[in-house]
Amino acid sequence: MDLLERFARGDLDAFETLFRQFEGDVYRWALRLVRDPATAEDVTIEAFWRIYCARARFDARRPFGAWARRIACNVAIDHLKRDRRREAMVSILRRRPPVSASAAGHDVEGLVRSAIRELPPRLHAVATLAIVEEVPHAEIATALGISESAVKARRFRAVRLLRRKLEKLGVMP
Amino acid sequence: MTDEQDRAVEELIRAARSATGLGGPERDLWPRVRNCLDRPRGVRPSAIDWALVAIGLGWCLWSPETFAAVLYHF
Repeated sequence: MDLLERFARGDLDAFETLFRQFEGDVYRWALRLVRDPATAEDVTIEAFWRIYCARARFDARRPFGAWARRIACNVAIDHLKRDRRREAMVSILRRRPPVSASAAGHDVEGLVRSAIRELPPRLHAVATLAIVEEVPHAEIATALGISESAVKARRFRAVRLLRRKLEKLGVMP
Repeated sequence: MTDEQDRAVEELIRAARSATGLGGPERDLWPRVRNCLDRPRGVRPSAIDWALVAIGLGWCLWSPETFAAVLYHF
């Protein structure tokens, strides 16, 4: 029986073979989005756990790598959402504005990084993949399960939002 | 806003964050994946479940007699 069919039936040896084959790719996509090696490892583990749980829905005629990549991106975006909520909660509890709201005492790069973290996670993901990592739009579209025109639109919206934030901070003229 | 200004923002983003490179994880992650598979995970309540609980609690606080009615039906 084919490796993918064995995996879809719940064969753990087949799953381990697929894990060994694709963990590097899944990890790199996670790292591109979450930017921290330890968190990227957690995302990789969570992604493979979800992959195994969703094995019955996997179509063995389709490429496993693209499917795994999409799940990993969803897990990473979930992580970005949690991170953003946590940061918002901390700033409310400490009764002080988010880091990017005050330019004083921060270097420009730090302010830009904070402003990126405050973007809505779906825009954050596209901006990081397209601008920082220079991943082609078609590849991002496949990984996120959206169209190429949606990738372009999100990139455009992310840049405009960041521009407004940076103008408020006095970073942009 | 012009394309040039957008490009300037993109340059700032690139300067603030560098690409992550092509490395893989530093340790073997398979044992941790196996642990996750072996450990039974409880059902996670969704946001809708929490919203329903909040509505129920709010309702009981707003009209305490509802709470007695709910208890009666249980």
